Amino acid sequence: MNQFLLKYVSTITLCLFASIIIGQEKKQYNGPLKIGPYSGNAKYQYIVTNGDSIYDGPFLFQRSNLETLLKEQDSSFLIRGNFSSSMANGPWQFQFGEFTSESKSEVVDFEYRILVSGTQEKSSGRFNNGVPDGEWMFTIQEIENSEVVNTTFNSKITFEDGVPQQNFQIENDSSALVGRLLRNGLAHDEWTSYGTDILVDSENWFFEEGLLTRINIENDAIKQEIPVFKTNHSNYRTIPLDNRFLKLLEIKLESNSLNQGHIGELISDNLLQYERVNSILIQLGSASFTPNMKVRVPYFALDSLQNKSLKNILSNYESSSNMALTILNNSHLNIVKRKDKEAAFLYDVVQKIKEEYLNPLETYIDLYKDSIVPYLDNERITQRLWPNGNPKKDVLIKLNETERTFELSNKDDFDFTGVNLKAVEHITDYAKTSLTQILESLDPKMSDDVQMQSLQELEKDLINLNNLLGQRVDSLSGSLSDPYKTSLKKLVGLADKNLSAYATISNPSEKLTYGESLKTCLTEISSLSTSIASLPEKRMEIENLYTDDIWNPFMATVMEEEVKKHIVEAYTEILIPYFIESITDTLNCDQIEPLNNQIIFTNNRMVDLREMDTRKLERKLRRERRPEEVLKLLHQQVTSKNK
Amino acid sequence: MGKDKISLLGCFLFACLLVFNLHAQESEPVELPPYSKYKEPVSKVWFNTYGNIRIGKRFFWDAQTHFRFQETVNTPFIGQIGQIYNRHAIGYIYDKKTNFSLGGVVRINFNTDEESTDRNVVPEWRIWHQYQFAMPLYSAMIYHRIRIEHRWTQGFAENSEYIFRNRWRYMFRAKIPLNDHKLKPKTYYISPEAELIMQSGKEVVASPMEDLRLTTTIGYIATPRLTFAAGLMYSQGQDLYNGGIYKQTWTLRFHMYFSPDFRRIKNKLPEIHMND
Repeated sequence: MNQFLLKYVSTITLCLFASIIIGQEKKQYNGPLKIGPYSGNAKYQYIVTNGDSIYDGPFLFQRSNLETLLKEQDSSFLIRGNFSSSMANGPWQFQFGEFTSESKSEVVDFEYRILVSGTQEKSSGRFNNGVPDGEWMFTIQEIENSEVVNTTFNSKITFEDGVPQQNFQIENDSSALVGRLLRNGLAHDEWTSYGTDILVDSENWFFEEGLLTRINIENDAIKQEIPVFKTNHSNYRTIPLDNRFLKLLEIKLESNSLNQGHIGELISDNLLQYERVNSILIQLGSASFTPNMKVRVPYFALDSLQNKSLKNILSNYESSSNMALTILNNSHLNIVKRKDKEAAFLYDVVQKIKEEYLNPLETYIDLYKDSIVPYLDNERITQRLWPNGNPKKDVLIKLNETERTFELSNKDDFDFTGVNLKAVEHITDYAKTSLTQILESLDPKMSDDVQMQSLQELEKDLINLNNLLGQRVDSLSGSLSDPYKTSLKKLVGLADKNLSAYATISNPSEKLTYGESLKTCLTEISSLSTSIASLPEKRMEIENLYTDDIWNPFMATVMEEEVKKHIVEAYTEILIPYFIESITDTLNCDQIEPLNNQIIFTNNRMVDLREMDTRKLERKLRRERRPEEVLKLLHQQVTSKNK
Repeated sequence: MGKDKISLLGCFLFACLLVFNLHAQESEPVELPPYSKYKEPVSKVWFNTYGNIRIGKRFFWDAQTHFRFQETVNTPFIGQIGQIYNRHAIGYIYDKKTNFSLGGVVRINFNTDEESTDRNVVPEWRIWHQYQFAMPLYSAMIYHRIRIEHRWTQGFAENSEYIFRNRWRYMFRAKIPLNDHKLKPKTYYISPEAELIMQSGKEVVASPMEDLRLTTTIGYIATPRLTFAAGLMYSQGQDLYNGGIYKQTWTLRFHMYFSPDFRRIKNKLPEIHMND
């Protein structure tokens, strides 16, 4: 009897204890939620740690509205899954529907069923600690009267720990793609797409360990083989197979009239589907979700001179376009030029400069902003810009039968010859200088308000930039250790100091000049803060990159081996502390950009050096402790490469 | 006539005796003792190097050189060199946990009997093949090794004939990390092992159990390619010519394991997945 009582009491105590623990940890939410464009009802569990609530446990988020469905159209969705400390974990399901109802209904047992038509997009699979694991399926189906009539998209990829594996399949209503991947996610072997209706309509991509070497196309009209990337290039980079790669391919194959083949279309469709799910997961704080397929592409490393040219081209282009737009869109000037011949002439010159100098550069600038430039053969791209030869320095304008040319007095300082970045830089510089001169002489003819207006706009920009910087530093420093936090704080202080200096200037034109340079400075401070804040993560990436998995035959165990120790140590022990310590209270605007460039260069260089023969460099680094010297050594070209 | 008969019988008996006598001289009768007899243990010291040199995606060269010392009357502890042992093979990696080897052994046997007037050095030849399986168990690894050897040996006596024997060996070994949750660089591990060596062949009459070895080793993984270990082994086994007599040894063992990979970087990839 006594024993029974003891058992009973202890069981109850245990249960109570367990429920207290659980009660302390997990909380339940049930109510409205908005994630991006999706708002509906959510039910989930979360835990509170350090004042942050973190998703942990089952998650359900859905919406469907009968009233709107009956009236016109309803967009419904259902998102169901599980979190484990804010990372998606276990099976997940995403469902998005656009339905209409023609008010047809059925009665089954004791239920009213309303028949719907529309499309249903569905995806499902498993996550393991934030990354996809196992098979992921995406389908888009057309529904008519609650029955599937057509599947317009279908994709099946199997992941292992976030990396796509083996074979995958993507289909839309006109074609299907089957491809193969290596264990590390690199595209490999033959990727085949065939038309689902037409028998002879195939497209094949041939990869060699990620490198797309050729494309075969066969249909009723043509049968052709297009070589793509060469296998004897000296330097390759592994990049994700995403829209950037497709764009790169599009440029590469421009002359082959294969603008959008089936395979490219299917890949891009698939990316779109993954992005939709990704955008939700990211907002929920989980890791990013992509197909994560990888390809290798030739890499045309740019030297520091070329990088500088590119930067100048971009800044010349942007200020030129701005100036051209200011002039061309100025309503006052538009009226003045009708009476004023000089103004009319300059106006036309601006228009011509925009057409001949600036417009051809537009796509190139886009490529640069997308960071695609280093994967393209620069000479070929430059050639494409002005296929009929570089623009002329004297801009000829015909005005009522009379001809007049515009040219800069120092036009001989600009060297337009040759097809290289330097020439492009000179061309943009010429455009910028011309436009500056024209703007100056047109300035009195454009209303005075313009200056005040631009000052106001500039100030708005400055305040925005400063706020953004503050917010960014706040959000970035959350997870960082002290030295990083201090540097970021110093950067904010630097921005504040410069803004106060701006406020003390009273002359509007001086204010405008200083303000413009301050704008650049704030942007640079902002990017430097991002670089600094990303250092811990970069460091981890690089340490991982320099770790090899070695199979030890005696232990039959795979072990990690650190390679090129001296290079990694130079990075982690010398350069990173140096970068952090370089941010002092006395730093000025001119030093920001070079420092940021150094950090970016070093990070990229570390990635490059991994694959190069660096024995000599390692020997030199072993003895060197001075950061400036280490940087110099890293800048030196490594001649031979491992192949 | 009768006398003749007797002498003939005498001759026959003599001849029989002679033959018997001759026969007895050829191989002395082996008398099994009534109870098993254990000889005094002999102490030995072994210095072993194990090389595992990768020569292809799935092939390696197994190169082992051992220096084995044995105590003698004049040099008690470390003793005098007993055997120099060269074991080589080509190995095939079936997967990360399974591999096979086939190769040969040349062992140089030194005569450690200081009073012997026989030859000082004789070679011994073997062909061997081995099947090794590893199994992870919690943080430890367990290994099963089956090794089969075809062995030609000879004694130190002048003009002695080679005798042929087969050896059947099974070894069970565990490696248990001591200061980490898995076997990885900078880890010490302890490795208990037991190996049973059986033999067969025309000459093996009453002594099938050649050796039972019980060893414990402490090892240190310096890098993924270099490991050191040292341990103590006790072994016992039947004497080849008298199955009732058991030899015993205590052996100090020092090991170096190295596994260089001179292949070019590109050929090493992809190291991780072998079954694609």
